[in-house]
Amino acid sequence: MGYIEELKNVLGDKVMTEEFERFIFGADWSPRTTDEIFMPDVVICPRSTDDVVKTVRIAYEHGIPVTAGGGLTGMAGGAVPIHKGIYIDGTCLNKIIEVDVKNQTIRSQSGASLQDLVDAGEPHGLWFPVLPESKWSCTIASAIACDNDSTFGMKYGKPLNQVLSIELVTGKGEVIEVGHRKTRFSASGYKLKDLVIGSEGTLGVITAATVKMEPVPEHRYVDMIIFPSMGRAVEYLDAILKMGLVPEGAHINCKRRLKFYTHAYKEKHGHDPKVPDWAGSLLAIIFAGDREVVDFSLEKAYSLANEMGGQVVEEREIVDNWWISKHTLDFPPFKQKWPASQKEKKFGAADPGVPMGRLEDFYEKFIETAEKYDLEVLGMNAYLEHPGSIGFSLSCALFVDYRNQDEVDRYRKYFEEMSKIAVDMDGTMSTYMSDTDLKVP
Amino acid sequence: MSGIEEHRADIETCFGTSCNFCERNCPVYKILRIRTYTSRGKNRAMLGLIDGHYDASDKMADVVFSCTLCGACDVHCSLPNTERFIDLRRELVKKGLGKPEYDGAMKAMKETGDVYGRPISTSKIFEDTKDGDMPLYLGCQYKGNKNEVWDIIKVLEKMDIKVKITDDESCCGYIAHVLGYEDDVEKLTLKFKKDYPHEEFLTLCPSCTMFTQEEMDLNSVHALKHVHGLIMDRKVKLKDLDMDVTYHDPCDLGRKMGLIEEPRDILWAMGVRIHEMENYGYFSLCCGAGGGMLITDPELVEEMSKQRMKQAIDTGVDILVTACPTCESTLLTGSMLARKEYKKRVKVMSLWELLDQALE
Repeated sequence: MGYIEELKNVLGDKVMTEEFERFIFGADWSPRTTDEIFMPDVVICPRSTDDVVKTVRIAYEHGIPVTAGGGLTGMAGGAVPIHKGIYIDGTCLNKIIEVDVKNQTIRSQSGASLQDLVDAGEPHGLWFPVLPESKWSCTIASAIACDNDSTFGMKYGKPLNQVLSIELVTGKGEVIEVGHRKTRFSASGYKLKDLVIGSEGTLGVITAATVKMEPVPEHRYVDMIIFPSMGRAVEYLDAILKMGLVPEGAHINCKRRLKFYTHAYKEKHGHDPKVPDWAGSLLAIIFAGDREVVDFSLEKAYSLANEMGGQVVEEREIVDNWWISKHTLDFPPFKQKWPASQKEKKFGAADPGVPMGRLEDFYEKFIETAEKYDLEVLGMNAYLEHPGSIGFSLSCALFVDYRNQDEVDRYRKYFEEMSKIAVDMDGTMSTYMSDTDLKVP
Repeated sequence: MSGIEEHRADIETCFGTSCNFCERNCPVYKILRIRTYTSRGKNRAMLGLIDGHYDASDKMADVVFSCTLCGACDVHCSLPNTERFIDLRRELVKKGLGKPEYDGAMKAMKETGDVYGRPISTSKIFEDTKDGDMPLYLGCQYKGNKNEVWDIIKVLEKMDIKVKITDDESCCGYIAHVLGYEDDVEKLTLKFKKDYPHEEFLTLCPSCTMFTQEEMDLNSVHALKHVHGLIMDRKVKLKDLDMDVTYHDPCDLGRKMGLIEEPRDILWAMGVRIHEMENYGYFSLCCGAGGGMLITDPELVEEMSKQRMKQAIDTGVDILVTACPTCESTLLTGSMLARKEYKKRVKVMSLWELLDQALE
């Protein structure tokens, strides 16, 4: 009996074998042409950990590759089944298992979206703060597998900071739990949970997780400050932290990147938002907490900005548009930004990390490299991703014509070169292109 | 699949975007949790079809016809997805992959002009309206329910709107359109225009209104829009009902035709306080009955209606008001199912019933 028959025998209609069903799972959000869709041989829609165990054991017995995926909004092909075989659609495992209000934790199946966690905590005054723009689709397992970035990283960090425990089905089909149940730390023992975070599915299939939730702040205010350079914005943030302020989030956008986030503004006004010619960067800074603390923080932040040559963005609509795009996703009906802004070319980004003193230099290299490969620059955003300290996750984005194989190939060369530049600057390329020759430097 | 080739650019945009926002309020995906059923899933399936990676199949038809065409995916997107899925249904029907469950309804429509095959003569039943001056088109959902129609006629009369139902109506063709039977749509719309030769008329069913306006370019006006105008102009005096309700936006009336504030204005004018559900207005959640699913998968429709009624229960009110005959009957079932599961009953009422009370 073939392995697919075996899967059907034990999992019934959770096994999908029709070509159109398999084709759907053959690509993620990374730039690729429609000829680069990798159809798995079979798709499994598991409803329990036991379903995953059965699947993996059959795969192990037959030596079949397994790819587990979530929302498929990954930007580097990490969940694309390039080796074919079995694709496990993790989104089928979407149940919230437990909301522990007293301990501020949620246990969920691995396919719950990050927004599902927020929604589950909301009635209890709790939220999950690791939220990228793909939060409606990105699953907790995918967030763990990629240790993804968050809009609120400067206060809460990444999954490494907020995930407490992970249930994993190993390559042999054994179920293990790594982490410290509902606590954050253990002084002894190997940090296996931390090993799984960012392991990109190479250590097993994540089937459940326990995360630390946080109290919903009473008030939040987002503002944007213009600086003459990227480096000046970094110095400003350093001074903010030295002063003792605790921003909930901070994002340094180059001028070009701002345009991408203010697509709705352009739709409405017929032109991009106007920022001064001298603007080298736009720092979005978020404060949250009790209203008086937020007001105090803002007052101090504005005053410091003034001292350091910064200028608060006057047109509030620019900030509001950026925030809709970044967090609330409250787009007008029928005018959601992503498809509207990517009809001709799509967003593609290299996401490296560089030391805090190299941001300015790296930005220049980014522009040079994009020009070298004749690619249209969309812009850079530096996400501040470490709680209470400066640590960048950069998004160096381009518009890529994914209908043009030559341009997609040039994009991949750009990606490879950007990785090398980041390493040369004592940094790292934080994501990888699993279905190309590119690997993590 | 030449008929769907024209959608290639939008399908590629969906492929390139891959945002999945379409999943958020898809009533089918919320229940089934299988991604092939989402807008993105269907778009990608179409891409493979256009590129010749595979042929259409019965299983594909199962997925494509398991869609309420509610437009929840459209509102979270900037691409017209449901239009594309109707075109895909057409292609499947042309290839002989339409759902056999629809055959009865299609045969009835063609033979009797009524989706249920009932030999109803609206001109005889409503003969007493012959002196009216504004034609009122009932549509298949209303015309078999003469008591409810008479109640609506009386409500309209209290507002000095004298309607006439003097023709033997035939189906507008909306159902054939959404089921993908395009050849039959042409015949049905021709018959409709012949049987119903009015330049301007009022309607009661949101789907008939939308179809006659958008596909047939006729001057049809949903009766509630007309009534809303009179109320806003203070030409109608309404009693204060002092009630708390939630309002369910019918997909075709709200999301597709934009009549979102109007029913709420009418409710407020009657002293009815609205407690919105989690999903409302443009982002409302479908009752589950759209797109022909009542015929092919009544069990899934029940689950979807229960899902919607759970949102109504969560508001804490005891009454859900809506303005569509299909939503009303579907949510009535959902209310009974939700009552069993969540131990709370929410009564389902038509907006016309409340108007009747407020006009006494």
